[in-house]
Amino acid sequence: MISVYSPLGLLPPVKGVSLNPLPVMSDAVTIAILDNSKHNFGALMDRVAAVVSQKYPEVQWHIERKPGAAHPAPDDIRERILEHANVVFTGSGD
Amino acid sequence: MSTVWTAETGAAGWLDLPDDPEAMLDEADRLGWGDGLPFIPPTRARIEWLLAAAGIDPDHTAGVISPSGSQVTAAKVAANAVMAGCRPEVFPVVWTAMKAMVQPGFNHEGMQSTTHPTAPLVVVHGPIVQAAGFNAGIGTLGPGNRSNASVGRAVRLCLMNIGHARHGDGDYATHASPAKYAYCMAENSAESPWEPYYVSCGLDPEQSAVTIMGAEGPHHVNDHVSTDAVGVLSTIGSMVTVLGSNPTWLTNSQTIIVLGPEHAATIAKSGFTRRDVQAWLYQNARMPLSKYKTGGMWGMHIWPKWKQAITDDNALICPLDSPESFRIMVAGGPGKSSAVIPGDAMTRCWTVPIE
Repeated sequence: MISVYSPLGLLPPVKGVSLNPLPVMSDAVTIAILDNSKHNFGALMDRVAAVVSQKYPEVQWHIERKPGAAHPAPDDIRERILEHANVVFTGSGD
Repeated sequence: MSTVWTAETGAAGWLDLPDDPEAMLDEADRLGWGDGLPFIPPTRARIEWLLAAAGIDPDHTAGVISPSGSQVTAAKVAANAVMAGCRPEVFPVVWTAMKAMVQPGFNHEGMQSTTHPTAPLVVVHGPIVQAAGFNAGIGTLGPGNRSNASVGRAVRLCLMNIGHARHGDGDYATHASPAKYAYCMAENSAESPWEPYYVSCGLDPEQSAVTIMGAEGPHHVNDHVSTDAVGVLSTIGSMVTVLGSNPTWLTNSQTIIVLGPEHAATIAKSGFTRRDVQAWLYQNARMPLSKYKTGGMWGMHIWPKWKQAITDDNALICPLDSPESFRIMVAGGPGKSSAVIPGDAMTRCWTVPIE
């Protein structure tokens, strides 16, 4: 046997995250859609929004679109979402 | 030197592997190490050998790498460099490349996870090319030179092992590419008719440097006939005006043009400087807007405002946004060949000194 140093990165400790509870669907709920700018994301979200609105017609919508898929959402978009919405629908990847 | 790294345990620390090379490779596969090829065992002595030659503390960290969130320590980089077959004299190139990639703004995060086949191209410049035995001439992008091969492989191993990005698990490249095994070349300053590329970036000629950019594999440009700059650059330009590459669709992209020495000489004989080459390509490597509209990323393209404002379908538009987006280097050996290397448009083309 030979003693070697693993080339694998040391994973950082997993920190527990307390998720906000999902909002009770009511007049006051605003759902943000964060479009990741990938093809057909808008079409997918249109259908999702249609299904949600049919069941909860009082829901308000706040739409944002990332300038590009390969980078995180800029701070101003995140701040507007935090200001206006209770929950975010988004996606990752193609 | 600090000894924190020598006390690490667990899957990311010290462990015993079988001596037998085939059994060692089998065990490494089981552990999820590496690129599937045999490797040099990363023993303490070998790691310290590389670090001592470069004068780097093993616990020194370059930053955090995605998607693992791990610290990129010098010891981890050296372990991967040992595995790749790096000699001590090339380790500073690997360390410099890794430091650059994990800096905010380079966007290695996008490069690691994308469906695009991007791989970081490492270009070595300056005195270290000769001093450390890199090949800048014939076959510079191919196999057969240990310095080129081991540096390219070390960078890939770091991204896979420290970054925990393996195909289908953190790395979602649809096909990937052979460039993801090793992608390293050296600038052939001796046969360039212009000042070296890294010097044109503002660096001292006596300072060795690394250029790093997430990129497609090289696209060959074959031109045996042209006897002037316009002829050669027309052929090169035809490999730029394509619908399938990211720079066509995403703003702020760079494309590296690797001129073979013979093509560079032909271009320079016409009186063209490097800036003339950039300007000519920007002015002439263009497609009509109508052609862009037939492309597979039309509608999700990200163009600057001035490009978005173009509405005439007959208007000729360069895929890149500026002459400076073309990065002109000379490398390779005899032959009427050059290469176009499109960037992935997620990362930037950076040239950094080796310190």
